[in-house]
Amino acid sequence: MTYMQMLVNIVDPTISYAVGGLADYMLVDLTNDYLIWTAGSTDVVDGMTHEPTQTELTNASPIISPSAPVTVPLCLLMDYSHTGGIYTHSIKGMGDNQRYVFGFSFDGATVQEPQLEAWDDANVNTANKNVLGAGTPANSMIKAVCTTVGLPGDNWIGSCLAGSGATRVLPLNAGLGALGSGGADLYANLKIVIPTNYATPAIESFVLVVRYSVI
Amino acid sequence: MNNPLFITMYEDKTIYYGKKNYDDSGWKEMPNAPIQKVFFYIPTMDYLGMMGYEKYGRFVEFIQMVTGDQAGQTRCEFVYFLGKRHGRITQYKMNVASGNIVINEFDETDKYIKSLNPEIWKG
Repeated sequence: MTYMQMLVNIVDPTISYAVGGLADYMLVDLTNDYLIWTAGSTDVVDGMTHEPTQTELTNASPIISPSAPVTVPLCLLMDYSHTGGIYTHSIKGMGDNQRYVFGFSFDGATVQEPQLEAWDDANVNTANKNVLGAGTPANSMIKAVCTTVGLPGDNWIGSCLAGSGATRVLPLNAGLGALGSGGADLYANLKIVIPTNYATPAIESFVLVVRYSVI
Repeated sequence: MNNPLFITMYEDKTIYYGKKNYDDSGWKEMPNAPIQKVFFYIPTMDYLGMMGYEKYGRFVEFIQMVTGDQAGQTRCEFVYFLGKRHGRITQYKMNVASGNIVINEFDETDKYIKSLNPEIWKG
């Protein structure tokens, strides 16, 4: 059986996991850690010494602009184990022209190319939340680009992730297909872009999943 | 689950029984020799039999929850049974939760078929 681990770069997004290892990356404890997409504030920052409260997170919400799209500027990994007393770690290079930001490390072969998807919830059968385009997947605010083989480019646009449509999922091996017996470290960059003057403010969760197949 | 996920009958009359876990079915280590027929387990407690093919394939599709209240969980979504004959592929795509099966036909030169790891094929 092939297994996957998720990695986030918390130091230098020009360094791959194969080179930097855990000096540059954190292995995400998927059961207990979680991602926080936020505008940030004096309270909600990199290196917090407590788990952010709901009030702190609400006060650090991104503000919808009447005149321009808003890219959520900060993604924090909330580290349940808070090694060294640090609970939050800024994911470096998120949304920028950087390659080694979000990593997906496979330890063996797959039958098809792994892909990243976004859904309303763990049932993985609807994508209707505002952040996912409110029923129009092409309007999803979640933008993703595969960076396994190279930089995404300045001001990258990416794919709008929502549901299962062929253009609304992100192949993680740059279209190169299934992984060989040695597995591979695959990379993506993500960002959330709130449209100009978006009419429905909301606090919403969404579910990211990686779909892959094995013999 | 108490039933093997597949039962393979070889042309030399030997039989290979798959294991009982979707994440370790035994297909990968199954001997690669001429096959007479394969019975694949389906959730209705029945078996889907396939015979008369030149090659047989089987693989399993998982989703790994990365965020959300079930993050960290891995769920088996679909099991695929395939048969190859005269350049054509018949694929049975089984939804593990519902047991529903969709049948697809492909040419062996189809981009999707060519993208599959060739190690799925036996026979």
